[in-house]
Amino acid sequence: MLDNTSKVETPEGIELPLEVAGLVPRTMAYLIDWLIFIAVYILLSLALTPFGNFGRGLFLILFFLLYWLYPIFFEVFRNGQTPGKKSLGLKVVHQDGTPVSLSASFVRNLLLIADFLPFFYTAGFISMLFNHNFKRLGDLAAGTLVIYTQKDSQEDPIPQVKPKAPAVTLNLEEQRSILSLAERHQQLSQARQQELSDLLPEQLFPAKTNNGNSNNSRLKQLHAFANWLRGH
Amino acid sequence: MRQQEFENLYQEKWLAFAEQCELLEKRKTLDSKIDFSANYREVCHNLALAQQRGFSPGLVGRLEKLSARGHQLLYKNRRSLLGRIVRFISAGFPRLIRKNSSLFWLATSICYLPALIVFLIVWADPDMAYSILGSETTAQLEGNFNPGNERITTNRDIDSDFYMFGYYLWNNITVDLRTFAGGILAGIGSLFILLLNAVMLGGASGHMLNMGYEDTFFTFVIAHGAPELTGMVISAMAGLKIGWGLIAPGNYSRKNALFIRSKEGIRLLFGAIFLTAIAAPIEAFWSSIGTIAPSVKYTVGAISWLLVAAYLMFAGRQGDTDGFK
Repeated sequence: MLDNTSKVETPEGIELPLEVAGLVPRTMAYLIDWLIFIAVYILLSLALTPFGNFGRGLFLILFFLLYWLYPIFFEVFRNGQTPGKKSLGLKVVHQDGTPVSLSASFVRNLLLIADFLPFFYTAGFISMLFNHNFKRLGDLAAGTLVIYTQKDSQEDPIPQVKPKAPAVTLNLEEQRSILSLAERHQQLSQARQQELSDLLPEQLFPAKTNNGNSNNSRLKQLHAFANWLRGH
Repeated sequence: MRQQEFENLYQEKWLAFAEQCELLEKRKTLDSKIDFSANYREVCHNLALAQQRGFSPGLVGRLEKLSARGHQLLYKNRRSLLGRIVRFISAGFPRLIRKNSSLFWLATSICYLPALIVFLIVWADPDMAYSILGSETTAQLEGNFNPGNERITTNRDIDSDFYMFGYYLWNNITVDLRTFAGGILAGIGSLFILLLNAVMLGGASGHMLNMGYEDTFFTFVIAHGAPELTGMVISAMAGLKIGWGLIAPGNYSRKNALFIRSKEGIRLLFGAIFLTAIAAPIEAFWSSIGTIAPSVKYTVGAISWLLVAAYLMFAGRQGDTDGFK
C-alpha cells in the first residue's frame, strides 16, 4: 500500500503511527523560514550598522547566531517546529518518535550544507526521493524525521439507529470497515457512501429487507450494524 | 467487552490524561499525586486493546493521538541545558578526545605535517610564497605584519577590537561547522578544508620569516593559535569521524554507521566550537595589542598552549571509564 505512515514501536509495546512529510510541504516550510531569516537580517543590519565598528561587530555576532542557530533553537525549544514548519503543521522528531535533541538538531541543520551540494539542494532532493521516510542527508545522519503534527480532529458520533446484527459473521477487518464508514458519515458525500455500500455482497444484509430496498436503506442497515458492533 | 462499554469505562481517565498533557505542554507542573507515567502506560494499554479487538478506527485514532502526546512528554530531555554544557566542557569533551586519541593524532598530523613542509618550502625558496599563497594574500600579510605599520605600534580603539571579535567568532566557527559538514563526503570535505588551512599557516609563517616580520607575526598568532588551531583540528576530526563511518561502516549498514558516528562526531564539534569561541576574544583583545614586549607575548603564548594540552590530557580524568588512564 502507498502510505506515508512510519510506525514506531515504543517501550510500552504499542505502535505509534508517524505521518512523514514529503518534499513539497518541507520545501514550502523552508522557504517561509528563509523569508523570515532575510527579514530579520535586513532589520538587524539597518538597526546596527549606524553604530560604527561596535555595531558592525555586534551585527556579525548576531548574524552568526541567527544564521546557524535559528532552526536549532526552534526545533529544540519550540516543540520541533520552526515558524515555517509550524505554519505548515510539520515538526521534527527522532526516528523513534521522541522529541528532537540538541545534538540531532545540530547535525541535521549543519548537514544542510551537504544537502545543498552540488547546487540548490540537489543532494537533499535526491536523498529524499530515494528514502521511504523522505530523509535528506542531514536526517539520515541525525536519525530524525519530519512529520505532520497530529491535528485534533472533531469526532462525529456515529448515527444512532436501532442496532442490528449482520447476517453473516464478520472478521475484525470487516467490522472495522463498517465502523469506519459510520464514523465518516459527515465527511463523505451521501452519494459516495451509497456507492461504497453497493460494493458489499448481498449476503451481508438479512433477506427480508433485501426486497426492493433502496440504497439509502442499505446504508441505514450498515449504520445499524455499526451500532450493534459498538454495543449500543 | 464491546466498544461502547469500553469507552464508558475509560472515558474519564482519557479526558483527565488529555488535561494533564495540556498542562505539561504549557510547561506547567502537575500535582505531585498524579502519576503521569502510570496514566500514560494505561492509555497505551487501552490503545493496544482497542487495536487488538478491532474497535473503530475513530477510537483507535483518538487513543493513538493521546499516547503520541504522552510519548512526546515522557521522553523529553528534562536535564538543564546549562548543566549539560558545564559537564561536557569540564569532563565529557576531554574524555572524548582521549577516547579517540588515534583519530586526534591523525588529524593533528594531517594539519601540522603539510604546514611544516610548506613552511620549509617557502623558507628555502621565498618566491614560492607567491605561488602558494597568491600575490593578494602575501601583500595583505605584508601590510598587516609590517613592524612599521601604525596598527602594530599604536593600539586600536576598543570598537575596532569588538568588530574584529565579531568577525573572528563568525568566521572561525563557520569554518569549523563547514569542516564538520564536509565530513559527509566520505571525509574529503573535512580533509580539504584542513589541508587548505594548513598550507596557509605554513606558507604565511615561512613568508613572514623571510620578510623579517617574525616578531610581529608570531607574537600575534601564538596565544590564540593554541585554542583556534586545536579547535580546527578537532572539527576536522569530527568530520573524519562521520566520513570514516561511510568508508568503513564495520558491522553496520552505511546508513546506520552514519547515524551512530554522527552522535560522537557532533560532540567533538561542540568541543571544537568551544575552543574556537575561546580563541576569538584572545585574538581580538590580546593578540592585537602590538605594544607589549615580544617576550611577554611568547610567554603568554606558551602558557596558552600548555593550558590547552593540559585541559585535553587531564580534565575529567576522575571517573573516566572510556578514555586512556
